[in-house]
Parts: sequence; structure tokens; C-alpha cells
Amino acid sequence: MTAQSHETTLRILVVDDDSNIHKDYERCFERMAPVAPELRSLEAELFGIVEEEEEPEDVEFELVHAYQGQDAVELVRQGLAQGKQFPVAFIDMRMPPGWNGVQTLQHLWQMDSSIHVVICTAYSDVSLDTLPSAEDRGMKPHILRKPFTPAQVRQLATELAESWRSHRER
Amino acid sequence: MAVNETDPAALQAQLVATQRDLDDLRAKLAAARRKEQMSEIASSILHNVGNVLNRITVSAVLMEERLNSLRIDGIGKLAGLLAEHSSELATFLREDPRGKQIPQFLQLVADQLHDGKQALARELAVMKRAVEHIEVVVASRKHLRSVEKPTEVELTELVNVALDIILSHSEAIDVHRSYEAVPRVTVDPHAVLQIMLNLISNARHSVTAAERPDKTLRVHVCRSGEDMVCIEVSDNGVGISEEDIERIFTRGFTTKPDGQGMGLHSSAHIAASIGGTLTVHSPGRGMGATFALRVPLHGQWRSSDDCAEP
Repeated sequence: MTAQSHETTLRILVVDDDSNIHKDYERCFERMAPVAPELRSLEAELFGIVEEEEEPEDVEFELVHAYQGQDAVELVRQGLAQGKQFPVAFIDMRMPPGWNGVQTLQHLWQMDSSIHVVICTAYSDVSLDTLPSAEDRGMKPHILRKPFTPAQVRQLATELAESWRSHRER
Repeated sequence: MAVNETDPAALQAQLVATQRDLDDLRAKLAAARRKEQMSEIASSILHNVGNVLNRITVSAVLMEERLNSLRIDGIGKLAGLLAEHSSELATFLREDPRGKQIPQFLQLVADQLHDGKQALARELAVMKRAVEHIEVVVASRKHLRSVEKPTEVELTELVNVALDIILSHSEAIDVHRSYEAVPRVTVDPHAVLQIMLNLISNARHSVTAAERPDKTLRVHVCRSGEDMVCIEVSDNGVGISEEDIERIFTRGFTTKPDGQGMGLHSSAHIAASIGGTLTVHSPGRGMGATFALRVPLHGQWRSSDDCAEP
């Protein structure tokens, strides 16, 4: 980590064979434009309403998209080579015709076992017990069930990225 | 049963019985294969509908956030403020430091509500398309009920169902359908559907992998000779090299590092089992590909052929 911008921009890898799901992830991280400050101050003057300013989040996420497991591995390899690792990867369980989510996750962890992986699935039969873990760190993939909500995605991304960062700084 | 090896009649009976058992087993295998394909189709539909539901859920939550962000409350408060000064409204608006700011306030609120309305309309459009998509997929269920014998179907309908299942409306792929008038065919509809799902799914992955902006998929339905109908699925995706094209229907052949190489192999088998053919043409790597499924007007019931190795 050399550049200051790396501290605030966290790269998230999204792996899914459906372009609509990629758009859903993008939409989850889209920020609404904040209320114009002029409007806020006028509301305060006219009606005496003083709202707390929304805290701007200090973390920016950059989404990087892969449509197959193999592409994801390539992106992680490039990221490692350029010193731009991915703290978090969201991976779909079912991605014909290539690797499924678990196969993709195993390949990713072979290259970089520090990535926090979220397996996204519409199937109820994936249980945490049957999923592999990154041996050396005792890490398990997290599960995100479809249909997901923006709050779930943001929360997972924020918490996992935070944990990834604190682990690096240790 | 002990058989007298010198008794030709007993041997013959034994042979007939074995043959019958074998036929029985083949029929069971074929039925099991059909069932497995039905469940593959069902799981592909479920996955697709699940993804569309995801879009709807995300839109619903974003709309809720947007609705909550609309600065409507100020309008009511403004009405109250104006009511307070109703006896000297003109003076209030002209001279009071607060009153003088009211036009600017109204303009800012109007802008904020206008932006909010546009964002809501965008999400609503996404949602409407998603709901339409689910309607289409649900309507396709009539093509999925189990059949016991070849059934008269409109092939173009099956093609549309497969397109609707694999591609959703907002996907960045241009789909061109050119359907000539063709007679109805008598066929196992699931066989055709399964092959179409495979071809369209391959085409979709091929154009996605090609990373070109003008992703295009063409489906052409026409008569082929006296007694066949041809469905052509063309894409402008990654294409197939000359050496690969010879092996493309071979079991286990795949260009994906970890692919199974089963899709086209099994599609070619299914095509043969209904008395049809599956062929491919590609000008080369990076130049797209065309797959052609020919279906006989009066197809045979899928026999055990699709269970046997070539």
C-alpha cells in the first residue's frame, strides 16, 4: 500500500455469469446525491429544522466484474502483481459453463488466502458446513442469499473490508 | 434358468426374453434421461427467475430509500408559516428575512423532488421489465409439462421460450429473430427446448466473452427441404477455430479450462434421438458461430439412442 488513495478505495470483485446481477451490485453501491446544502440551511432558517448531517462514508468501493471463475482468477493474479489486492469477492454459486462458486473460491484462495469471499446463492441447499475454508486462516466463506438487498451487500462489503484492513495492519 | 444348449427353441425364447429385458431397460434409461433433462430445465428457469427477483428486490429497496429522501415535509411547514402570516402576507414575503427566502426555498424543493421523481421512474421501469420477464417465464410452464409421446408444437414458440429463459430483457445483447412461416412439427418438445437452451446459453457466453460492444444473437427459423425445419442460432462472439470445429460435438471437448464438454455433445445426441441433426459453422476465432438444428416435421419418439455412445 503506497498510494494514499488505496486507503480509501477498496476493490471488490464481483463474479457472476449474469450481467443483470452485476448491475444489481453496482446499484447497491450507488450513492444518492446528498441534499443540497442550500436547501438544508434554508430549512433551518425557515422552520428551525436542524438535521444531523449525513456522515459521508470514508470508504469508497470500486467494483471489478468477472463473468466466469477463470476470469476472476486472472483478475486476482493481475491485482496481486500490481499490488492492488481485492479485500472482498462476491461469487455466484451457479455459473455455467465454467467453475461454480465453490470451485472459483478454491482457485482464488490458492492465489490469495486473504480475500474475504461471499458466496451468493439462490439455492437453499448450500450449507456452511459443506463449504471449504482457507486452512491457514481458518476463514470460511460468507453466504449471501438471493434476492439480496443493498443494505446486506453494503454491510458485508464494509465489515469484511474493514476486517481485511485491520488484519493487514496488524 | 438352465437352458438346454441343444434346444434351438429354448435358446430362441431365452434370446427374446433377454431382448425384451434390454428394451425395457433402454426405455427406463431414456425415461430417466428425459426426467433429468426436465430437472435441468427447471433448475435453469429457477435460477433465472431468482436473478430477476433479485433485480426487483434491489429496485424496491432503492425506491424506498429514495422515497424517504424526498423533502416533502418542508412544503407542509411552509404552508403553516404562510398561515401564521396570513394577515400580512405581502409584507412578510417582501420584507421579512424569512419570507424573502421562500421563492428560493420553493425552487430548491422543486429541484429536489424533480430529481427524486426521475430516479423513482427509472427504478420503476427496471421493476416493470423484471415483472414482465417473470410473467413470460411463468407462461412458459405449459411447455414444460411432461409428455408421453411426440407432440405437435410451434417450434418458434419453443425458441422464444428458450430465449426468454436465458436472456432477460435488459441484457446488453441484441436479439434478432427472423422466423419464416413453417409448419408445426410433431416432436418431443423438451428435446428441442433442451438443445435451444444449450445453444442460446453458449451463444450468450460467447458474446459476453468476446467483450465487444455490439453483442448480437440471431435466430433464424426456416423450412429445410421437404420434411425438416431448421433453427439457426448465430452469434458474433468468440467463434471457433478450424481445428476445434471438428471436435466440437465430441464428448469432453471444451475450450473452457475447466468446462465439462458435455453440453454440445449431449445436444447432438438429443438431436439424433429425435431424427434431427445439429451442425455448426464458424468462419474462425473471433468471428462468431452458427449452430443449425434440423428437426423433422414428424419426429420419432426419443428412443434409447441418446443413452448409447456413438
